[in-house]
Parts: sequence; structure tokens; C-alpha cells
Amino acid sequence: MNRFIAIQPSRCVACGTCRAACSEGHKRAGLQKEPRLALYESRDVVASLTCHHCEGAPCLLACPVNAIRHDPDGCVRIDEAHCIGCKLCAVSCPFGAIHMAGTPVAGVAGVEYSTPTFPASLDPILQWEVGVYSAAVKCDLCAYDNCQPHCVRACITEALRLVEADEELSDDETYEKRSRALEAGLVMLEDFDPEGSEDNPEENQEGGDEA
Amino acid sequence: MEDAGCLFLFGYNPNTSHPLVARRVVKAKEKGAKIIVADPRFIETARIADLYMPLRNGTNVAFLNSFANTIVNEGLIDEDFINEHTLGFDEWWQTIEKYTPESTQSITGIDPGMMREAAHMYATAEPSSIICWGMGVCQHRQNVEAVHTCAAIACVTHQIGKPNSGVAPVRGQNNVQGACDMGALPNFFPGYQKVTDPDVRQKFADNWNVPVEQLSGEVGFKVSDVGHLIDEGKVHAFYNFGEDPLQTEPDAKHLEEQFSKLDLFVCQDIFMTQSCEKADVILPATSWGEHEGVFTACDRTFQRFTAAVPPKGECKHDWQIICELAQRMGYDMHYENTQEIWDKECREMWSGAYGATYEKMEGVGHAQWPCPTLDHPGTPDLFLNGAFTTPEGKAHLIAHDYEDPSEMPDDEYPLVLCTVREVGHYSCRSMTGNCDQLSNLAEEPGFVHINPDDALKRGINNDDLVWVYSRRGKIITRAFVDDRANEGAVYMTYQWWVGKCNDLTIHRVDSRSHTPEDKFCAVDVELVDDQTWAEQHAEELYMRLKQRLADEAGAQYEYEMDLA
Amino acid sequence: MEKHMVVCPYCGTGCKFNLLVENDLVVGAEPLNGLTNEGFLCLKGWFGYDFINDTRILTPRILHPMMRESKDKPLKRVTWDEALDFVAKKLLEVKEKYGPDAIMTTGSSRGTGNESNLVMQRFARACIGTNNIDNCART
Repeated sequence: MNRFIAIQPSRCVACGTCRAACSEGHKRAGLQKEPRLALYESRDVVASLTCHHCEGAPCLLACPVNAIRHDPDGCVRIDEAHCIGCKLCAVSCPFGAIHMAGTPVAGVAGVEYSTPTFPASLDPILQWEVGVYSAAVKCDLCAYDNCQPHCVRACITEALRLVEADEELSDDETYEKRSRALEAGLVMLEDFDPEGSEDNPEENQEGGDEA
Repeated sequence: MEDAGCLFLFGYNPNTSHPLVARRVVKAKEKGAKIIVADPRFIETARIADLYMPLRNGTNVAFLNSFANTIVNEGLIDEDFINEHTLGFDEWWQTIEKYTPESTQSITGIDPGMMREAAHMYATAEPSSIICWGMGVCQHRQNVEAVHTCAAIACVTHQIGKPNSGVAPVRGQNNVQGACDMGALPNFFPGYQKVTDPDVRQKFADNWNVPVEQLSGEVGFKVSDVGHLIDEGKVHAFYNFGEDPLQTEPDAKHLEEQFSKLDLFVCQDIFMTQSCEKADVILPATSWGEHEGVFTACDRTFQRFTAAVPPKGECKHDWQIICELAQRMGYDMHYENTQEIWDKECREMWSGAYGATYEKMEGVGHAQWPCPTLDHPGTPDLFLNGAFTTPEGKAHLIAHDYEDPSEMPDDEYPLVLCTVREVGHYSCRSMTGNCDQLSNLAEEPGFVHINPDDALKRGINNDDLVWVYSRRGKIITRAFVDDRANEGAVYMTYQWWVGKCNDLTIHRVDSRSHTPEDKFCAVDVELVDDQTWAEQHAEELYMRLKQRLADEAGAQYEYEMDLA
Repeated sequence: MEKHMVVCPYCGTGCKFNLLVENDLVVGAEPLNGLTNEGFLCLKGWFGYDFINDTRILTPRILHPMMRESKDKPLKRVTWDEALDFVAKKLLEVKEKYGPDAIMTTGSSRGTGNESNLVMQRFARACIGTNNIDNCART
């Protein structure tokens, strides 16, 4: 199982402290200060969106310069220094968890203020600013700091949590989650049979892993 | 708060104004508390609420009257408590009686059944209920009226005067409670002692070494009236201390003209704000972090804070500046440090704060007033067992009729503008706007939250730049298409300097507390045709504004160069 | 690194934390187990300190008294004596000409603390002789 940051939406108060903590942590480490988790707010749900650290991460396969690697502990990381800003990883990410960040030129080299050449409503993947060298950024579980992710430590309602690799959901929990997803039509797991799994959930999970 | 059985949030969005309070709301909910949210906007807490009541903008008093009416008609009142601890129930009922949930539905838009459900939930919650309200109540024309009714509701249901119950008006700025406690009000000395009371005046005159005739017995002017008072020739000098009225007060454009008529406009501040820019004299003060003192949190808790770094440049502490000025005006005022001020001016003059010593507030120590003696633990719950602080020891029940807001939307300006808060920014933004991390997360020209249907009608997409205009002005800002905003209303945060919503708001203050009607005025929103131009235009406006302030402030360095 | 205990200046919740200081620069914040915050801080508490270091992101700090000769002249740096003498003289003039109630003062409900408000209200009432003191509780 992979490691990732999980949110309990009923606890989230959308204060944004996680985003600020994320930004500050990366900035201090000399990385892009862009926050790596986004808050999605709809009328009924608030959730933080962040990298899932997929086992077969498509971003990793898409990167033409091998700037993305899969750490042994399950963390998928982008090396900002090697990134060429081609955006292929951002396009290939099924969750939209990767985006581009660069340091604006405004305020340096005689450029007083930035002169945007596109409307802000343009899709972030299509945006580009003259003279800005940008890199892809995403959640790295704060691996650079060798500590618990900053967002998890900062969360005031303890809604965020780091799910560790050795942490397994109980069979009942897995079963319940899968059946709920199936009912909602969110997944098409052909080999997942809710009826059968009740009798022998273990077998079912193994089947899932092979798939 | 966590241990209450029911929380009724009325016009208060803890998630953006006080995230740590929102944390308590979540914890209360997890402990099983019922949560009722009444707000025209589907605020964050509405998501976890047991009951969300979408009342129409500006109909607070009608809503509360009808809520009170339902409580009485459903037999949810505590008659013993009313008889023993309150006055004026019959008269109160005469007004309230008219506001049945059925008759107010056309005004508030609230279904009578929902109203009944809310009334039961609030009045029968075990062990207690709390009504919390914020600026959503206060910044309306009928604000005091709404507060009276909230308090009356708590009284008739006996949801006051016991632990974890009562009314919780929340304060926006960190030390509003403190400034009011300490007598920065036109009608009160420190500790809410009336300026109209001759005995109180005598006491303060003795302490301040002035003849009692020197102390005025007339209630003073309110700062929200200052513009009108300048026009009328009643105010000729304005000593503005730590505020930025040209950013935070309504109808800012007009106010700027009024300020230019002053004989003397002094600003004592830490940053070059838009108000300082217009001042005749600027007195540089030390900022938070450079001085020490006591703050009062909105639950009446005194807490000490200390200085972290030495004062910069020639900055002096606020109290030093004022004392030196008094001396020059022929009045002797002198203190060694803040502790001396606290002991002499507060603890000795106000019996309720006598026990709040600096020693008690050491470290994470605190003192919640009333705290009358040195060994007193402080008072978390006011009015315990119905002991109210009016002369009769009973609560007065007051009711008011509903009136429409001053400026109703019409064909020309069909949307209601309501001012709200940004979670990462504070007040006029001179402090948070200078913080790297906070400005990184939310920058100019700010946002206007608009319902998807209203946006669609105007061809507006999320993140588009738009014009927002009212009878008083026109500004550029960014659209935030938000399905939590109700149709017919838009919400803007008042922190932004380019997207400055106080260029739009109306300067009409209520008759009782003189609080501006920031939460209701008529506007319209229009998409800017050329979005790329608009982006550049907004950048440029912001840049010019910053440059202007930096140039004004730059004069202080020229002197240094001359000396060199 | 030094630690200095403060109360957050951004809202009325009253959260307590330490400011971390190195070489007279504030470099960080660290929550304390205060009455209301119980060891937590929101983003303004965590990251709202760097304005003290005069970052000039939005607008610069004022470090010296400044004054203008007349309404149409620019601001100029002056000494404390010049600034305070001028304000005192002008306030006395206004008081003489229009009475003490022609002077409006404010307290501050922001970062200044209770003590400065106590001193300000004494100044307005005892020195000027007016109850024209108010704070921004209404906005």
C-alpha cells in the first residue's frame, strides 16, 4: 500500500492553514513556495486535493528526463532542479495533483511589475509567463525535511493525516468502501462481487491486488 | 462552548473570521451538539449543520422576531425564569406576537416548518444552547434591534445564566473587547463606568489630578460619524490612532474629501497606510512584537503579550507618544512602563479588573473579568442563576419592528453587496499584506463571490476580472463563482486595496450604535471585455498604489541622505 | 534563538504563541498551550509575523516622525520635538477656537494593547476635556 495524505472532510473547516504551512515548509527548503495541496470547496464537501503517490504513477512514466522518482518508502517525488517544465506529468496525472510554479520576474532586472499576457481564468496548464522558468510541483510528503508533513502538523482540527505504507484498512472497511463506490457507480470493478466478498473478503482482496 | 447541546450561529462565519472557534464548533458537533446556521450564504459551518436556514439578506430582525414568536407559540418558554429574572415580557410580546412564521415567510424566505424545528432544537437542547452572532448582525441598519431580540430569546428560554449557555457576540479585531473595556468609547470610562455619572467623574478626576469640571459629562462623538461631523463644522481636528479609516470605513472616496477639510489630521501608525498618506503629521509607533501589554479576547479574558524585538528607527511606544504630547499641552502624565499603566489606570479604577494582575497573567496565565479580588479565579459565565447587572437585577426584554435596509436592490443595481472576511487577511491588511506567506495565498485585486446563476447571466467565468459598481463608485476585482453564495447577492472581502469594496458601500449608520450598514447595499457586476487588458490594468493599479505609498514614506530616508 | 510569548494580534480568539527571534529578526512562530488555542494556530498565527521585519511587500513601515507644512506640500521627515510641538500647538488652537469637542480621537482595537487605550482615553478626557474617543468596534 502507498503512503499519502488523507482528509476527513467532516472535520475540515477550510481555513487554509495546511496550504500556508506547505508553502512555508517548501520555501524554507529552497523549493518552489507554491502550496502543493489544493482545497476543493463545493456546496456540500470540502476536501484537500493532493498527490496520491500512485503505485504505478503515470507521471513517472511520462517524464522525458527522469526527474520523477519513486522512493523506496512509497513517496513519488519530482526533482525541481531537473524538471524541464514540459507539463507532460501534469497532463498525465489523473487527479490534477501536479501543476506548474515559477518565480515571477516582477521586481527584478528592471521589470517593475508583471504584465500578464493571458486571463487568469485560463487553465493553469496552459498558462505561461514571459521570462519565467517553471517547474512541476506536487506533494512530496515533506520528504526533504525528514519529518511529518507540515500540513498534517498544522491542521487545527486534525482532519489531515498521513496514511503510512504499513497501515492496512481492515477487511470490513475495505469491503464497505468498495461496495459504496460500486453502488455510486464510481468504479467498475468487474471482479469485485459484493455478495461473494461477504463470505470471503480475503480472497476478494487478493483478487483486487492482482488486477 | 464545546459542551453546549446546541449552537445557533446567526450571521457568523467562524471559519474565516476565527478558525480556532470553528475548531471548537467541529469538536462540539463530534460531542453530539446540534448546530443551526442561519445565514443567507451557505457558509462552511452550514455543511456540518443539522439545520441550515437560508434567510434573505437584510431580514435579521424579521427572522429573529419570528423565531421568538415560534418559541412562545410552541410553549418553549421558561415561565419561572421569565417571572423571576426578566421585565417587560407582556410589552415585548405585543410586538413579537405579529411576527408569526407564516407572516414573515414572504420577508425572510424561511419555511414555517423549518422555523418550528429550529425553535425546538434551540430551546430544548440539553444541557444548554448558545447563540453566536458576528458582524452579520452588527453591520446592518437594524443591528441593536437584532441584538436585543437575540438576548431576549436567550432569556425567555432560560438559555442564559448557566454554564455553556447564553449569547456570544464575537468580535472581529483582536482587541475590540479590550479597547471597549478600557474606555475607548464615547460614553464610558474604563470598565463601562458611565461618563454621565457625576460620582464616577469625581473618582476619575481625583485619580487624574484634574478639577472635576474638566471632565465632560456629555457623551462624545462616534468615529463612524466623523465624516459628517467635519462637514457640519463640528470636528476640526482628528487624532487617528492605529486605524486606517480610508480603507475600512464605508464610502471611502467621500471620506477622503471630508478629511481634507480638517485643520489637523494626525495619524499614529506603524505602516504608511492610505490614511497616513493624507495626514498632516505622522507619528511612528512601535508595532505588535515590539511592545508589551495586555489584550482582551472576545470572551473577556485578559492575556499578556511581550516584546520580541527592539523598536525600529525612531519609533516610540504609543503610550509614550501620548504622554509626551500631553506634557507639551500642559498636562502632567507620566508612567514608567505598561504595568504601571495597567495597575494605576485599570486595576485601581475598575473593581472588576482588580484581581487581574500582571503576575497572574505570566506565561500562558490569564484572567477573565469580572475578577474583583487577587485570589479570584475569574468568571467564565456571566449572569449565573439569572443575576443580571441592570439596576433591578433583571433582564429587560426589548422588541423592535422590522424595517427594510436603506438601499434596496432595483433594476439598475440588482445585486446586494455584503462585505465579509478573508481567512488569511486582517482588517486594512497593512499587517498581513506585508507577510510573505499570507499575501502569497491571496492577493489583489481580491474576490467577489457570486452565485453561478448570476454569473452565467452576465457571462462570467470563475477567475474572470469584473467591474463592480454602485451609486458611489466602481472597482475592478476577480470573480469567484461560488455555489455557496445565494442568488441575488454578492460577497466581497473588505481587505483589498484595488478591489476596495468600501468605495461602493453606503455610509448610512444606524441610529443607536452608529455602526455602518456594511452588509447591505445595491450593486451590479459586469464582465470586463478584454480580460488580458484587465489583468494588466489591475496589476498597474496595484503597482501605482504601492509606489505612491512608498514614495510618501521615502521622504523619511531623504533626510538621512542629507545628513550623510 | 530567543522565544518571546505573545498573544495573536489578528482576531479576538486570543491564541497564545512564542515568536522565535534571531538577531532581532522574527523568524518563526510556535504555538503555546493557551486557554483558547490549546496548542493550535491558524495560518495568520503561524505566518503573520514577518511584517515586523518590515518586508515592504505592500507598504513600508514608518520609522521617523513626518509632517507636511501645508495641505498641498509633501510629507517631510522631522524630529520628534518638531512633530509633537506642532501637534500640541494645533490641538490647543483648535480647542481654544472651537472648544474641546471639536477634537476627535480614537483608541485602537488592534495591536496596541489595553494600556495604550487607557492612556489615550485619559489624554482625551483629562487633557483635552472631551469624550470624543471611539474605536473601530463598529467596522
